[in-house]
Amino acid sequence: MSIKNLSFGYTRKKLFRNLDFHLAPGNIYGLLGKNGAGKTTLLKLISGLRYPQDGECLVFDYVPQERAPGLLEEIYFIPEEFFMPSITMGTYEKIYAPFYPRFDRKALAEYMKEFDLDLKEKLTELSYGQKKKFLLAFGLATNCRLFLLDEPTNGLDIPSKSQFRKILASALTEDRIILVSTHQVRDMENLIDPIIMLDDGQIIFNQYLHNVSRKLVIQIEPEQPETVDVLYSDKVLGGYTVVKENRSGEESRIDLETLFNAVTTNRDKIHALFSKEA
Amino acid sequence: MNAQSIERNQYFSPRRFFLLLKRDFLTYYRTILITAAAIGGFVIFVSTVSAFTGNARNFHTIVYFLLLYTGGFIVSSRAFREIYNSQKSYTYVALPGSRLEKFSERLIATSIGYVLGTLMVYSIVSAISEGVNQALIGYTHAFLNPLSRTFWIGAAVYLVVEGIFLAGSVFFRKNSLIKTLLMIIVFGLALLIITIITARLIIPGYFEGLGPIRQEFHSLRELAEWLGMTEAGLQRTGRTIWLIIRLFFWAALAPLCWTVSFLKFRKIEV
Repeated sequence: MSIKNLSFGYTRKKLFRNLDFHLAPGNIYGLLGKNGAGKTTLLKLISGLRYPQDGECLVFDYVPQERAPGLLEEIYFIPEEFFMPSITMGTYEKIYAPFYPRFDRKALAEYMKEFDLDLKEKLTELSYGQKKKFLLAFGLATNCRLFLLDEPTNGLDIPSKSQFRKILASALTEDRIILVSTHQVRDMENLIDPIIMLDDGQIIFNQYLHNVSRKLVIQIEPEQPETVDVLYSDKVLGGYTVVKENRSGEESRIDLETLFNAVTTNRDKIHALFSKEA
Repeated sequence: MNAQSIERNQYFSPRRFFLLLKRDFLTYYRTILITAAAIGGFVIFVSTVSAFTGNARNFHTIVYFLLLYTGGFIVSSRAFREIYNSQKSYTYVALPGSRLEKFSERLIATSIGYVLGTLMVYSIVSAISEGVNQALIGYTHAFLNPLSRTFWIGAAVYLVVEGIFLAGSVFFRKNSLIKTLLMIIVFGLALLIITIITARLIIPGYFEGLGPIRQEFHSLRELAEWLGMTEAGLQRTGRTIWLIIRLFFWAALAPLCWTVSFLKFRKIEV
């Protein structure tokens, strides 16, 4: 999946200007950004729900805005807000599954069992989180190659979040791309990799976590650091979270929230640091 | 191989077309049944009341067309409501089906599908109502005859005019029925104004004086002479204009509405 020089805006002011990036199969990408950065719009552009005003977007050699059935069979998009018809989950499966040529009924049954859902239950009688779990189960059972999730953990309870991470990780195959847009970064830790950050209409960061931990170190320090190699610091309970260039070469655990704050507040320095390696 | 087989079906696949029809039917069949039951009950009641007067033999033809036109235009003007609903639109647009399949499915459902559906339901309802009338009053109305010329012309007019309301459902985000009706009225008024202005430019003498009609014509020949034409020439001109209007209505209006609706439909972003 590739995007080249893509521009888009709802008004005269462009939301995206000359956006460029590429997604490779076999990854669960985390798409992070502030409110209004355009995360949902980007998912809509990729799935052909919105049309770019300029530039090119190619998904599996298809142009999404043509909405060719061959591409739509390969994309499953779960938006943050959705409507569910007044039918049972079994009827939903009966209606929608035939549209997807590789739909796996057995897999759906397994995911449903995992999420503690029953096909006989009516969709309108489920909670928001249960509906989301059903869509997730159905989407994974379609065996589509591009899975787009917009704020997937919103509305999920704590056990469901764990189930979600487990199921999504197990659903990743060599030919599948999973793109998760979220600002609930803590829910996504140990799941999303690489990390893409969107700000001011641009991709400001697109790195695998192992690369991040080779280049940056995040640690707690008792005093506010004043050294020049500090890229970001923030007061927390018991000291300061500090993001610095990793000079020791020792890899550390990366806290996504801190990383996001560091990248958005000190974009140029971090960009320079990662460009140096390239 | 797989890519090639997919490529062949990118524009229209009967299988996906029927899957879309099945989706709509299974999603909305309860609403359809409840609406049919409510209208059926109303028809039976009105039919019984009408049977008391005993002077409306063509009752079922009138009521059927009333339901066909009013119900059909309401349904057609809501046909693409889903794409303007922020929570429903993504399901419909992202559903693996081409834009042509999605458009033609709604077109068929609201045109021929609606005529056949209402005919089937109405036949059952009218049979019940006449059974009730026979038992209670001993008077029955004539049944709706789907083989009659009246039925075929009435249904054909519906199929043409329905296209306008279908276009309204694609073009108008909200209140599409009212906006379509308003558009028809505005278009009619504009056509009237253009016709009057054209007539005043071509035959200004006709509009001289205080009233719009300066002189009365007692025959076509008098009118033709006044216009500087022969009677045969005037008749020929009249027939040509009427033929153009008929041709536009029967052959061009519906395809024009379908085409502009489809062109708009394929560009809608959600």
